[in-house]
Amino acid sequence: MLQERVIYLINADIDGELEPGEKDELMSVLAASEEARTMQSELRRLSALMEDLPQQEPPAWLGDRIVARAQVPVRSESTVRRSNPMAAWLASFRPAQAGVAFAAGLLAAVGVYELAPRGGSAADISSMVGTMVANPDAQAAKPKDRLSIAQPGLDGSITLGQVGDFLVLNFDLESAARTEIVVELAGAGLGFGGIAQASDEAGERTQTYEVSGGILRVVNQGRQAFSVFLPRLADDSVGQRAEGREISIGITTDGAAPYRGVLRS
Amino acid sequence: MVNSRDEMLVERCKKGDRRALAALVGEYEKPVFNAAYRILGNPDDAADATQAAFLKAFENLDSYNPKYKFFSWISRIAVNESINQLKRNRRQQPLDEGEPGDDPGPDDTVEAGRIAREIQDGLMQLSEDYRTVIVLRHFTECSYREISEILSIPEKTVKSRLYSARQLMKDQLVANGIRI
Repeated sequence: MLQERVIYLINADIDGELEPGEKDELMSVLAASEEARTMQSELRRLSALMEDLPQQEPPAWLGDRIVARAQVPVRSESTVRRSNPMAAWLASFRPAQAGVAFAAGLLAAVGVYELAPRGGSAADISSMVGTMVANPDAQAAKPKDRLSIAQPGLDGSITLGQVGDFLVLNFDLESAARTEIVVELAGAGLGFGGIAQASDEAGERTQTYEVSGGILRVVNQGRQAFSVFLPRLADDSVGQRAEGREISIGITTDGAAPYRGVLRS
Repeated sequence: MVNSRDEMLVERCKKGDRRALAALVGEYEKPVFNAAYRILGNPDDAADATQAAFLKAFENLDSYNPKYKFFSWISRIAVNESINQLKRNRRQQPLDEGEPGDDPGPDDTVEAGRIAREIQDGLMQLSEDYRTVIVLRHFTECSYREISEILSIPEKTVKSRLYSARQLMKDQLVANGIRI
């Protein structure tokens, strides 16, 4: 039976973790013990067998799916498109134009904005990713519809309002686990105008979002207070009137039942 | 050693460059998937763990320290995701002995595949603790210290588990007719 010290020396040698001076000690042990030499030989062979195992091929779709779903919090200063008219429009917001202030209250100009192209279709809302940041300007909107959510792991509200020609979705949610919010924009004949995090939620935390194929996805955890600005697509292939649009919202929270609701303008 | 290409790709990712993100995925998808596969024993779970690891890594890219290899960092996340997946599997389904090794996978095509399958079976017969240290050491090439950090256990425990796991693996392979 080999001593614990010998077992250590042999294994550490295989792992390349011998300390200076221990190599000589191992050599002495090996010279004196056939059992030690046998063990070293077997473990080396085992190690080689494992490291020579053929690599398994991942599924062909895996890489593409990861790339499609990955969201990197983008530093806002490098991504704000200041020349974008939407950014200027949002940045010009001032408190309480009319109506009732959203619960989150302080919302406005933000990380990344892009207007849905005039005359564009749903597919023209091409891939975008970004990180929301806050702006201390206050914002108000006239409420049109509201969803209240109270289920294990997820509660809060989603309010649909209007600011000028834009519909605005205001999220004020609390989730225990990671949450993915999916808003079907194109299906309601709406584009993506911008997204803003409530200033009292900014801090060091980041919320990431992605717009692709006419669908907005926001991933976050914990308190979620943000607004999404929704311009009407000029070429509204859905043909919905300004009044009566239906915006479908799905929320998936790890470990909780999925939520689905519809807001009407 | 720090990989300057990885560091550059990470910086580009932080600026919103999706091509850099795709390059990192392309570079490390396969080894990460393989580490997850060795822990989980089936390709579907390994794909889930790989995806979860990459998504988590990209969401937390600001916490990546370029002093360390990107592969070490993503491997750490993947191993933790795999361990979490194992725990979920244990909660969701009763243990079906022999199941993990029943899927021969692409390793099974040649004689070398038989050894590969025996090794995978041997891994799956190890306890989770032993299997994890074997995978970290032999499939992601982590040092004792890195394994200690990943698993939040003392280096002494890493060594103890690794040496015992190897001995068990060797005994199992010999018992199954593999010449060591």
